[in-house]
Amino acid sequence: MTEQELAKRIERIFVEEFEIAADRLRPEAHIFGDLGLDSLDVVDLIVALQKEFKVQVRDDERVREIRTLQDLHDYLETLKREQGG
Amino acid sequence: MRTLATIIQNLWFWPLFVFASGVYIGLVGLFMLAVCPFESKRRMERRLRRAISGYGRLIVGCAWPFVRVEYRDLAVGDTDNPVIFICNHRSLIDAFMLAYLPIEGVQITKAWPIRLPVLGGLARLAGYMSVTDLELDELFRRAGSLLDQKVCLGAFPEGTRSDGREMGQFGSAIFRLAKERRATLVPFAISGSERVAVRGSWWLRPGSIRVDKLPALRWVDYRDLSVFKLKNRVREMLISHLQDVEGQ
Repeated sequence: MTEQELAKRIERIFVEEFEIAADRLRPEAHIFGDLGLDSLDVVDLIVALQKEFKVQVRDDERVREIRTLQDLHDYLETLKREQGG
Repeated sequence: MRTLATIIQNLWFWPLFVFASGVYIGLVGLFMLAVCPFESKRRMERRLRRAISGYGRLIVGCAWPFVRVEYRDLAVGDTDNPVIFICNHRSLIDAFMLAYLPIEGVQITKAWPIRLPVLGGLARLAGYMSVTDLELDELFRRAGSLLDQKVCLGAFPEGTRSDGREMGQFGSAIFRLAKERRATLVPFAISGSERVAVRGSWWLRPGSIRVDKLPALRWVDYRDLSVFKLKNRVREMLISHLQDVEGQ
C-alpha cells in the first residue's frame, strides 16, 4: 500500500464514520482540538482503524502519542510494517 | 478602568449575595431537617432539587437590575421521556441559568462545583455529579437511574467555559448516555454571560443575558446518527442559533 493509498483510506474513515468534511482533514489537523474527537470517540476510531487495516491497535501505548492526522498516518505506516501488512 | 456602574453593581451584589445565601441556605437546611423524618428519600431529593433551583433564581434576582436575564420559551413539552439539556458554556454563571426551567433536574458538572462548602454538599445530596470524579460506568448508572425517575439532566459538554463567543468542542459522554437511554435532547443557548462574569475576575459587569431553549431532538429524530454526528449536530444547532441571536 502506497502512502497516498494509506492517506485516502484514513480520510475515508473520518468522512464516513465521523462525517467530517474532507477539506478539514489536513495532515496538521489536531484530532481533538480541530476535528472534535474526544477520548470516547477515539475508541470508535480505533475500532474503525482495526477493521479497515486489519491491524491490532488496542493496548498499544504508542496510540497515546497521536495528536494529529500526520501522527496517525505515520503510526499506521509503522504498524503495517511491523504486522506485515 | 472600571466604570462607576460596575463598582456600584459589585458593592450591591456581593453583600446581598452573602446575606441571601446565608439566610436561604440556613432556612432550607432547617426545613429539610424538620421534615426529613417524615418524608421518603425520593421526596426529600425532589424538595432539595427545587430548593437548589430556587437558590439559582434568588442569586440571579440579586444581580438585578444590573444584570437582566431574558428567557425565551422555557416550557418543557415532552415530559413522557427523560430530558437532557445541552448548554453552551461561556461563563461561571451559566449554571444558574438552568434554575428557571420548570423541571426537577440535576446538573453534571466538573469536580469543583460539587466540592464547594455547603452548597456543594447540598448539590451532592440532590444527586449532582462530577464527570471528572466518576468512572464512566458509574456516571451512566447514576445518571440513567435519574432519567428513569424522570429527573432531567443539565450538561455542559464543552467541559471548560469558552469565555468568548467561540464554542469549544463537545465531549461525547452525555450523548452516549442519551442514546443509551433514548432521552430527549434540548439544546439550551446562553448568550451574554461571558460579558457579565469574565473569567479570572470576581467583578461582575452590567449586562443582559439571553437564554433560549431550542427545539427538542427526540430519540426518534436522532437514533440513526452516530454519537459523534449527534454531538456535532447539537453543537451546530447552538452555534447557528447564537450567530443569529448575536448578529454574527
